[in-house]
Amino acid sequence: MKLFSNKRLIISLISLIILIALMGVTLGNRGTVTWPEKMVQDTVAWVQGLIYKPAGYIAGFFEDIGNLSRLYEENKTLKRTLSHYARDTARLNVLMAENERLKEALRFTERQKLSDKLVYQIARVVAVNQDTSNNVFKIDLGERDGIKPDLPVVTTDGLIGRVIRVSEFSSNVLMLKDINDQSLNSRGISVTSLEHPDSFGVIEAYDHETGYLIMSKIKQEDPLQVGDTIVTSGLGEVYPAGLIIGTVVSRQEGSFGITHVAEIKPAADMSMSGLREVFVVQNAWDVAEP
Amino acid sequence: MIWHRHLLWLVVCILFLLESSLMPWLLPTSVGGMQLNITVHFAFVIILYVGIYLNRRLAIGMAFAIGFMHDILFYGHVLGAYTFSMCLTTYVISMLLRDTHVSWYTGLGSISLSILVFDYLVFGLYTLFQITSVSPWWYFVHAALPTLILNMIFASAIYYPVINIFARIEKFVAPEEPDDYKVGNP
Repeated sequence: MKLFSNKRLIISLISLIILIALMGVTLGNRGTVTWPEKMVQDTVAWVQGLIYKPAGYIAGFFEDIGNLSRLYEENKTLKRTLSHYARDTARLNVLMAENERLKEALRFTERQKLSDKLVYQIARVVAVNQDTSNNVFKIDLGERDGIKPDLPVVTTDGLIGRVIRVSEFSSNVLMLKDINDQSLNSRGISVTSLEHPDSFGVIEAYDHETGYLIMSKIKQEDPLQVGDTIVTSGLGEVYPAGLIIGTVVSRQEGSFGITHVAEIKPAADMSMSGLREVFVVQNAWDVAEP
Repeated sequence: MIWHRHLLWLVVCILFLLESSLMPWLLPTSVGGMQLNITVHFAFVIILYVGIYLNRRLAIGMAFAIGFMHDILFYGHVLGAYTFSMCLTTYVISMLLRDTHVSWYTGLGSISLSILVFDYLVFGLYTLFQITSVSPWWYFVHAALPTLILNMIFASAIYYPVINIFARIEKFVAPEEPDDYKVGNP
């Protein structure tokens, strides 16, 4: 049995070449996407949102029924945390007032003052791609709402990814677990520890088998310890400082024995289930002066 | 009666929309502590049915449209991985079963093979472009196998309705298409 006739063989070979070329061209950083792509993305994203959001409410209702038994325990913990919170707020107010006063005294410019502040824009998830190698979900904010590529996206627990493609009314978010030190497309995140602010490392990879992020380039004399909370350090200029990433699970020597490597348990849920709202984080100065 | 064709397109498009918006709420992401990445290919299952039992060209057209749509919608790293894999799998499987009477076990067997091949084509392309560095065995246990099981449950559940409907609309959707080459020795 012949699978291809001559004419078909040529057509299939040409389309094969075109498709492979398309993949090569669109791989990596493309800047902005073209208008036909944007149109398809926005139109379908709107329809997907019509299904995804109500389905989420229904799923949430059943989840709530399941949670009823845990409510009592949770309430007790929350009350205890609330008392700590009130105490911390009082201290924070004093410190913030002092900080403002000192900045004023040192003649900080408006830009310097605003660049420490972060703006959290709430976005609703409209669709989720479940493909293992391409962990992308769509949100209902786009270029019109001031979204730009490479903005970090967080949940209430911690960093979950970054915006990768933007169209007019929707954008695609690439999840943190897609980070890969062999890929041309992904970027390392420079991080530090909340408990030891002198420590330095770079998150470059994700281990799918354990579900931990890999933090590398840690100096041997670095004060980082197991149990530390890992936050972005802001040195990489892509992610602003202070976004929570996870906690250190283990620390050992790297493969060359020169630097150390740590495993980080991500704070945000990386399984993509039950994603409803996320926050796009932006610098206050960038929002004020686009 | 051209509207049968439009109806097929509509069904495939609706299934495609449900894959990414409704199904994530229904599927588990881990079972007994083991992480599962189940991908839903319901639209692709219908396309394969069309390719095997109804009309090869219509199926390839659908595979191209749906694959390209998926690529654009979830454009993360690269455009074209789904288009390429979907078209190739649909073409090869419908050409192989072109002139044979397809029984239920050949039909379902070739659909399950196609889904597995499709998953590994996509995975292979992502590995080729160094986007993922997951091992093929890990991918099989945590992604390809659960995906295959879920989609085969769907495919076998709709087997009899689909065959009945296709038998009824066959004469409208698949007119005698001239084969431009002979089978066997000339």
